[in-house]
Amino acid sequence: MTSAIAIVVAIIAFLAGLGAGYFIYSTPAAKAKLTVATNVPFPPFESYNDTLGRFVGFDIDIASLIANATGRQLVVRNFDNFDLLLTTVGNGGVDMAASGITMSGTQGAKRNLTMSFSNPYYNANQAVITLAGDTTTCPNNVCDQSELGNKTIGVQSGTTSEGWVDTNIKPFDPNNATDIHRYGSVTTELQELKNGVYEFMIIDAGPAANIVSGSSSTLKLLGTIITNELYGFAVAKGDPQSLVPSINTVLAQIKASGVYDQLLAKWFK
Amino acid sequence: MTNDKRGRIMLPWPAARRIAVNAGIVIGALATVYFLGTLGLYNLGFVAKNFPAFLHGAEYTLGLIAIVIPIGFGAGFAFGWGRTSHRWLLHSVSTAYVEFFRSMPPLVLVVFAWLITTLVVAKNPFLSARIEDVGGFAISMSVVALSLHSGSYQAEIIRAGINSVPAGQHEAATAIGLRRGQSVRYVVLPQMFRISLPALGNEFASVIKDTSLISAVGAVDLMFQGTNLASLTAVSGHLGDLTLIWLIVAFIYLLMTLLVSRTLQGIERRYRVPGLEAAQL
Repeated sequence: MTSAIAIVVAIIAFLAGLGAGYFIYSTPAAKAKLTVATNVPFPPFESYNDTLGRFVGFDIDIASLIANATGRQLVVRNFDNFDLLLTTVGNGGVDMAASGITMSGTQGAKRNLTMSFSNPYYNANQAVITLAGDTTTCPNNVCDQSELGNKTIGVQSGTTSEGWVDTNIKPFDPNNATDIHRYGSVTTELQELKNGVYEFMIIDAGPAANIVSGSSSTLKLLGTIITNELYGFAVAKGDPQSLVPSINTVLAQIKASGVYDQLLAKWFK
Repeated sequence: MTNDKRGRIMLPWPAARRIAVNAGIVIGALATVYFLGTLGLYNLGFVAKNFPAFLHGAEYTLGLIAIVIPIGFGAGFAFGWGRTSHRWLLHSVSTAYVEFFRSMPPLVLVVFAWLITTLVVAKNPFLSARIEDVGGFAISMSVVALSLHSGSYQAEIIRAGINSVPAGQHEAATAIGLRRGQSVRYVVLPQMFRISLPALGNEFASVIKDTSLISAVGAVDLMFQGTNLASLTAVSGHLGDLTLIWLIVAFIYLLMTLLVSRTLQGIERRYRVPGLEAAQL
């Protein structure tokens, strides 16, 4: 009995040793997959399509063009939470992040310390959403601290929307009466807006328009906040896989060939 | 107390009382159905439109269950046995395993496994050159962590099962000339399984529901589908549709749990010995 067990253990150890040796000494093949991180829902940049059973959107389409150009297969990984996505891509936990990530401004400068960015591929502003019955107005549809100060505001944490509120509303609020609700996901943020937990939802203008047009007139767009943010694709700090040149080449190509404009027309109706 | 033909205990209730209870259940169910109707819950078009989402989710969750239950049971059986061992190394390793995994909230374990895997792979050029899809690999590790969490509970169930077989049985087996292995195989294990089955069924049902935690690290399972549909509905629909989504998700989890617990109850009935139920040993 004991010797039989010893023989079995020896055989298993031998096979395991062979396997480990193969794993260690074989030269790794070139990567066949491009893992791209995203954070849904952020339509039209990224969302989950139930019928197709996969992630779709403007960012995802460009990411798949990048995957094709590098000869790799696209794998999209969803993150529950935007902060975690940024940390993970900065540390190289995924190959690339395509999630409407702002690379300019104060927030962008901070992000550039922990990750590397491609050339910008989209120019975005912030926008304010309220319930359809809200009576606040913004002059020329441009909102600022005079309309949003001393109010209840909802933002997704880790985003430039949160950054804007923290730098442009909070310091100019003498009574510290502004009530900022920070949410991990846009889903909860939206539900709480509809439940009347807070009054103004601040989110990037692209998704804002998408949310309002899909809300069957229960929500309205109060106005935009001009921030002139640039979106970029993020990779690990220092670009260890040398992806940024390939991404920039693809971006330049699709802008020259008109594919970029077709994608804009497809996703921003 | 009276027993029926198969030895099951019959409750000494008057027929009127049983009829009243049944009527109560029916009236309660009808009231619930009516109440849900007033919420606008019979939007069947909505259900039909989103049917593929639930199907994709259920498929993924079934996959998770198919991994979690075997790994959990394997670990539970091995370490549960280790817990009853007299060798100090086996015993202390198993005890350390059980105490560690039993004392952590499953969500913490899942997130922790994901973070550690991602960090280790990302910071180790050797591993990151060989593991293609770190995200997918990290999710698998979270699934393993959840299985081990369930395994720690199952280890305690198995240990209790083994310990509840009286030592005299083992001695008697030795006395009639069975070797140690034979005594375990033919005397201890069958009794232990019969005693452990109800508790194991409980744990399986619990871990099926716990697979929903994997969605926190990016699995596109039933829970994710529910959240995603809810997010789409939060934009456009009304509260009734939102409730409907979670009702359907809950119902699918209920079906899965029922399937497993009914199967186990079937096995339990198949191997039961009248008069030798767990409680009476």
